[in-house]
Amino acid sequence: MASRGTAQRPNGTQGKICQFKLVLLGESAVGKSSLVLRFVKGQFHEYQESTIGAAFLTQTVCLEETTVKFEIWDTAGQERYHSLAPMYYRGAQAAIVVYDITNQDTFTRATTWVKELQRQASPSIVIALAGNKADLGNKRVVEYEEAQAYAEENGLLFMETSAKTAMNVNDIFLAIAKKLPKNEQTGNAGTSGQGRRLVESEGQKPTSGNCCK
Amino acid sequence: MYSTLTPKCRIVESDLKCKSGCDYYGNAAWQGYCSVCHRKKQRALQEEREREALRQNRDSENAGLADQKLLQQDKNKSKLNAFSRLRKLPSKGQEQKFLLRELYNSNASDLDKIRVDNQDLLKVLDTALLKDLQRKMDNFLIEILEAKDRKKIEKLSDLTQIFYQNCSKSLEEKVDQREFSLEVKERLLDYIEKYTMTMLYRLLFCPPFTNDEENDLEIQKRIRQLNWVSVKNLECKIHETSVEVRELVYTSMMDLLNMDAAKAPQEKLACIVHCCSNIFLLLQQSVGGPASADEFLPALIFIVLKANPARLKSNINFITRFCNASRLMTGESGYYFTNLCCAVSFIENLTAESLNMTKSDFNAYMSGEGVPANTWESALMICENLHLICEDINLLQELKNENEKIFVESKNLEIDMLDFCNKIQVDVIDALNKSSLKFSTNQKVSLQLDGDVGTSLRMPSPVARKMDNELPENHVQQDMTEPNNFNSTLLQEKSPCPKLSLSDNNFSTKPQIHSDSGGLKHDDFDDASNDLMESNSSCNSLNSSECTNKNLSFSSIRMNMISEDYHGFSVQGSSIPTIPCNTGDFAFNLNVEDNSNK
Repeated sequence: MASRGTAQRPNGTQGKICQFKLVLLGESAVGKSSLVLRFVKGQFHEYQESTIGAAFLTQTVCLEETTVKFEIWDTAGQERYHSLAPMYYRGAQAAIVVYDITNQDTFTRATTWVKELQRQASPSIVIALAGNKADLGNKRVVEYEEAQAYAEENGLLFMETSAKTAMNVNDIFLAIAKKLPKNEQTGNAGTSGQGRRLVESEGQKPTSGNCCK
Repeated sequence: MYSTLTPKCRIVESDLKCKSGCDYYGNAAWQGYCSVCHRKKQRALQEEREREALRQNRDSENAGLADQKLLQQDKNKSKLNAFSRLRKLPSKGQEQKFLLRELYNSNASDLDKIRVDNQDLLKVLDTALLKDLQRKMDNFLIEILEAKDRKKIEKLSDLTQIFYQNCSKSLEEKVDQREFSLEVKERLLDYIEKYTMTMLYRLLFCPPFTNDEENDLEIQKRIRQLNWVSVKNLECKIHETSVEVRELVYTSMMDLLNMDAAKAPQEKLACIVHCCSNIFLLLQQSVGGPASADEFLPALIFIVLKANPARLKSNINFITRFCNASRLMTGESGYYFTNLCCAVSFIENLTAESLNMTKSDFNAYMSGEGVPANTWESALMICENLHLICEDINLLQELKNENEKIFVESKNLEIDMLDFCNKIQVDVIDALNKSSLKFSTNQKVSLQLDGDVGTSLRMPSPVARKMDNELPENHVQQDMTEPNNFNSTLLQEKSPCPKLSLSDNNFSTKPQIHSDSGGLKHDDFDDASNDLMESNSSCNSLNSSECTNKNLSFSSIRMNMISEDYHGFSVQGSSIPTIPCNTGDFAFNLNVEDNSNK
């Protein structure tokens, strides 16, 4: 369900460009934006002037046949904004749920995110679970095996990452890119029809909320 | 009188009220109804029309089909042809055409601007393609104009989105045929959207058959109620005390407010994008690094709360309904728009828990009973006061400059006065030098007078007095020829002295008289300085023959430096036996010197 379809099709050899919307979920301060900044800019705490925001970023990943362009939507992790999340992950083809391996609560929150995504997001959404701050192994609270088992149970991609050391950062995005359906047919047909409906319902959300008040 | 006259010119309040009789005010634009009643009326009318249309369709389905076929044929013709054919259509088509033309005219300037903005794009393209596009757009416009009274806003939105998709598909074919790049296609789609939506803006933005306006008012009221919400409540990291951050806060608020002024959904989106990028800038300064959504969303909510943009819901609805869906789904603008929708939704559903405060506090603030200590407000107040202080400092600086100027001026004046004084002295000396006339008096008498006050008081010389008595009379006779006040005062002074001395031998009263006359001279000096000089010279000229300088005159009292050349009023000196206090020594020395010279 890549949007904007393909480019340079007549060339053939160039391959397709698939654009995907990826949404980042997780408690605040688990390092969602650090993870993305590491992936997109290769930065960690050494921000360049040009990096103004880390809420919306794009990055392309090259696979053998296709070029995957990620459009990464960060979400506010605070509990009070939890109810707004559906607006963000509506129409997303992939999601990374991030937790902090040194904080059990964040893992619990992550599992609720996963449940919510499986229930409400598009059924074909690719969900990845990322245990961030893996460099702080000595403060580990969430065991690797526990998370691994949970991920397998729910059919998630799972990696422990570290935005600080760049461990597994590119890998998890690459794994998602590989898992995403790049069938051109679904890509083109899907976007036009489905995409529109999604946006409309998105627009209706605040309206309906207003009516309920 | 006024009270009896004016009522004739007044509009009675009931004339302004809604025609339906509800207690609100009506408006000419709404046919004299208030907005609510007008909308009700419109809705009823629309339902009526829908029913009518349905009935007509059922009644003359065949006829209707034929009609549609005709329309379909027209659509295949070029724009001009379409117009000419439309004229032959039943009145309905004519109405659309008229409306379309009206729309063209009313939006001419905006459309021209869009054309100019996209000139580089339109020039490159094939004219046939452009004609095709124009035809498509016109057909779409007519379609919407036809449907606007009969269909719900959702249907109109669907029609628009289908139109966008059709355009996109046909353009994609062109891309596949490598007629132009993907980028050009996107720009063309934007152009189409801007063009058509600018045309239809008046009809599709906050139309009376939706409840957009009510929603607008509701959210506006809600935001007003929430005016106490501060940065702290939202836990957002806006560094309020920084000047640059505050500037950016205002800039982003302005961007958000500008959204209402833009017409095309794209332009409205661009306003949102501007606003959001400014928020990122201010967050970058506040946080000290790239801001994530954790910081961005609260900041956006804060900005929305503080800006309270006009017709917020109408604008959001207009964008969701009529902006190209693919633009809203993806890309930066899509992300920011989603955030704005989230912010609005959050504001609508805001509760005490979402601000981490107790219910009672929240309710008190909402009802306006309590006012929380607001850092934003206090910061603003401090700024205001700082501003005032700055202004005052500037004012003080100005006053100081003014003061310095005055000081300098007064210095100059002092110098001028001294110069003037010197000049006068020089003039006086010149005048004295030029003339050889001198006052003179009996040497003996003056010696006695000046040398020993005591003796002089007790033992006035009868000889001198006699001379004095004679001399003044001569002087008077000669002086009278000059119309000089000063001389007359001199005369008055001179005359009583001998009288006194003659009638009363107790001379103790004499110094009194002298000092009085001295005072008189002193007071008159400034005004009559010229007179004095004249009188001086005249006196001098009178006594030129005697030419003794034993006596002091008032001029030597006033100006000490004339001592060498000065020879004194001999007459006066003789009549007054004492010397004014402060110059006594000087006068005495002078006399002694003169004596020794003799």
